[in-house]
Amino acid sequence: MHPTDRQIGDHIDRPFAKQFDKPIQLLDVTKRFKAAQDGEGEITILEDVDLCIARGESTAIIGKSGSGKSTLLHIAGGLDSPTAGKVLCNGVDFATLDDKRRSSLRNLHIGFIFQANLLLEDFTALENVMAPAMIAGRTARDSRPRALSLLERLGLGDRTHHLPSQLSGGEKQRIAICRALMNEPDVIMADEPTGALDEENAQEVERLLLDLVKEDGRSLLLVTHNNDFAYRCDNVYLLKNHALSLEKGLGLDV
Amino acid sequence: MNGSAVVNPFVKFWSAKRIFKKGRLLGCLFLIAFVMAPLVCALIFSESMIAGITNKYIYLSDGHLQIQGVAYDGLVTDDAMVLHADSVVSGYALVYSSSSTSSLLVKGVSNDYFNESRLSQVSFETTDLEPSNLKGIALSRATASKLGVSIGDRVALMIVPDDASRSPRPVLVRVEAIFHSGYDQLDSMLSFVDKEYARTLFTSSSSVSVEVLVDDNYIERLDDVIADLVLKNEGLSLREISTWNEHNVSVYNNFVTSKQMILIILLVVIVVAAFYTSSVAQQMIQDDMKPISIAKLIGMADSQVRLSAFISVSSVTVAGIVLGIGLGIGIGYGLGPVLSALSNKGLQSLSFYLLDFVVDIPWKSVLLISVCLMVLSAASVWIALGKTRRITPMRLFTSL
Repeated sequence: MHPTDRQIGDHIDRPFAKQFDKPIQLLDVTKRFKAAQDGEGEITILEDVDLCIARGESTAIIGKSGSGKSTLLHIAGGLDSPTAGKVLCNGVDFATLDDKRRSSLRNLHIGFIFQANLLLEDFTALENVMAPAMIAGRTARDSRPRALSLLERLGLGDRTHHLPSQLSGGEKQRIAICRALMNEPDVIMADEPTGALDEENAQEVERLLLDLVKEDGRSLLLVTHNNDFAYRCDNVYLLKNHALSLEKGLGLDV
Repeated sequence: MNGSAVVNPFVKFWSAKRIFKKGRLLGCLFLIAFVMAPLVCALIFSESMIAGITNKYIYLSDGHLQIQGVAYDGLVTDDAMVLHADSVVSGYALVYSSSSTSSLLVKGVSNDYFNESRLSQVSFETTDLEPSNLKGIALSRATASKLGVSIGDRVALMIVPDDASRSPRPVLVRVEAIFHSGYDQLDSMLSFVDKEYARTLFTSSSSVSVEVLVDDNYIERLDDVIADLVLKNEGLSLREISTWNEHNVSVYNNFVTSKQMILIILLVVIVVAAFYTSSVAQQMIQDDMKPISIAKLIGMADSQVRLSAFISVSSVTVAGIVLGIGLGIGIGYGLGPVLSALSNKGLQSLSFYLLDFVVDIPWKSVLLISVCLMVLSAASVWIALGKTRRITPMRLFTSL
């Protein structure tokens, strides 16, 4: 057995993983991109960034466009690799995992919500919500009750068999939230989740996200332009000049 | 539930979803079916026709085994192995009518030569004729047509004597029957007369032979039958016995070559079809870049993506093969009566073919081409699906 299998949680209920107080830790993370495909120069996005997401707390990253907020979230979620430094998810360094284990770690411990809801267009609302559980190895029959209960909880009980193309932007985003919550992840990572919504829907999604995270004792890593939304989180960091500075809250020492 | 032990439920679910959502995949299914159907049909046609022609040669011309040179009228045989052993006197003759000439093998056979097995291979037309001093001959429909004669007409047989001191002389015979086996190539060189009469025409010892028909269970074990005959019949040696294919080397070799060529052509078509399925898989990946990236974003491993696409394409390939085989068999069976009708019309261009044959499914060959198609498509699709490794969730953000 691979030493990290228990931490990744091959079993969806993974009680062991709940013991980590810091589900996500970024240690001295640096990210640089090549200036151009053939260019020799590099652009630094993040420089020796440390960040710790505590269990049950919400953390927002704010900053100007192009400051690297989304890149930080992608790296924290194991979607992208840092040029230097480590990213730990429940104590497991993403860099030490093969594709299968990294995917499993992401599937079980992290729920993603993006501005573009990124739903599977050929799947109904219910199937989209069930997908993470089925990827984790659960049958459709086992996954259905929780998916239905989430959809019901977010006011989409009558939309279960609709395709994303038949839903409004707000409904799609709520389905994306249900999907993110499906496997009861430790962390929800949201990148401008209200960016594409009108004010009414945006406020509804903000409220849902913060309430759901608080009620279920999960952590939230939020990347947003919206300072009002950001300052409703427990901690707020400003990303500027490739580094994070704490704007609100106590933060947590890595 | 540990998803590693069985195919992941999402993989199965997504695979099924892809098959029904993708018109391209269904197109692939029908293309494979339309490739397989004529292949299976061609196999059925060629193998059944070759088996039919072989049977015509065996039952009307040579027997499964032929014992040359000696009239083993009292041949001792094992009844389980040998169905019939018929002594035959034969030789070549030129046949003349008032309008044409033909070179024929004249076979002198006894009354019981045309047993049930042989009569299943040939049909005879006869009419009541006035008694005559002339001996009778049975000509094939093809020969009668060529000579322009019918039942009751007289023809002259010119037989080259074995003894060089005697000069050839024609004898008159009367056409008393016309037969038709369905295979004009064989029919046009055969004729039958009474065995006792043939003894007077062909006096050489080499004109005498015994045709042995073997039980179906021993057709693949002719060596055992030969050994048994040699054992049971004193004085009979191995070199006197030849099998059908030894006796008709060129015909047999043509059949073997034809079968091999057909299989090679089928395999080439299958290779092309297999590569087509791999290109469908590639196209499917190309079309599905976004959903694949989303699936990977929510935790689907590359191996699961690859397996899902593989299951989709392979299910379609297998379904296409099964549908194609079904269609091919259906067409193969339906072709029988059509060809038979064409055969009865006596179309000249079809005279080289046996068209009235029993349709027999060559399961081994069908299985071989099906397995080849499945293995080749599976391998080429699996390799093509290596592309999924390059699709990462980050693609969603870089391309947005």
